[in-house]
Amino acid sequence: MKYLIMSGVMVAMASCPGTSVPQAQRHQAVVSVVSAHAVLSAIQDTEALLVCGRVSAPPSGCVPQATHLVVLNRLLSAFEYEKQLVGLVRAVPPGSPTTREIFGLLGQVQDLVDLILADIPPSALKANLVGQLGGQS
Amino acid sequence: MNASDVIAWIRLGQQVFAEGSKVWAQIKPVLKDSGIEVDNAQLDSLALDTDQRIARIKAELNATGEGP
Repeated sequence: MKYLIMSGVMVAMASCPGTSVPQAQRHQAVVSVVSAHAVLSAIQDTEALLVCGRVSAPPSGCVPQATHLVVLNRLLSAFEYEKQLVGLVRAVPPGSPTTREIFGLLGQVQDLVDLILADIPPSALKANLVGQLGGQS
Repeated sequence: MNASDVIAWIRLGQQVFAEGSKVWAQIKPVLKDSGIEVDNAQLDSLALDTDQRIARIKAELNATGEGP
């Protein structure tokens, strides 16, 4: 499964990593960071509903406690990467070289999103989450 | 991940966040480039939420003895 964190407009940045970043591309980086945050937030909120034993958990397809802890640790790492991204993008004045590190961090977040979604068993709530993310299998 | 990966994503799936979804609702307001000050305000607001989410995760992990 692949889930899009970076918006398509990032392609323009990808074509010239390490080069200067005019405001338009800085804004694209902001959109990508907001996208990453929205995805991670949706995953965190949905997964919390699916943990076995909670009243919101489905009768089948709930997330076992051990898996939940794995997911929490992955989410923690992903949000920490996102914090680094925010700091990087926030500090970038238009015209500064930045993009390679931003892409690296977005890639780390993307990898964690893929792992987390693979951890979560199939259920209606998960299907709804995947639909929100525009994911496909 | 590198530039070719990004381009491959676009070509493979033309994947977009589902319009009308909660995720899309968070992204749509920032799509328009309203300038660096608006972008920075957005990042500051996002950082606050991220800190709260990290704190919640750490609290839960600590409560289960699985904290970092």
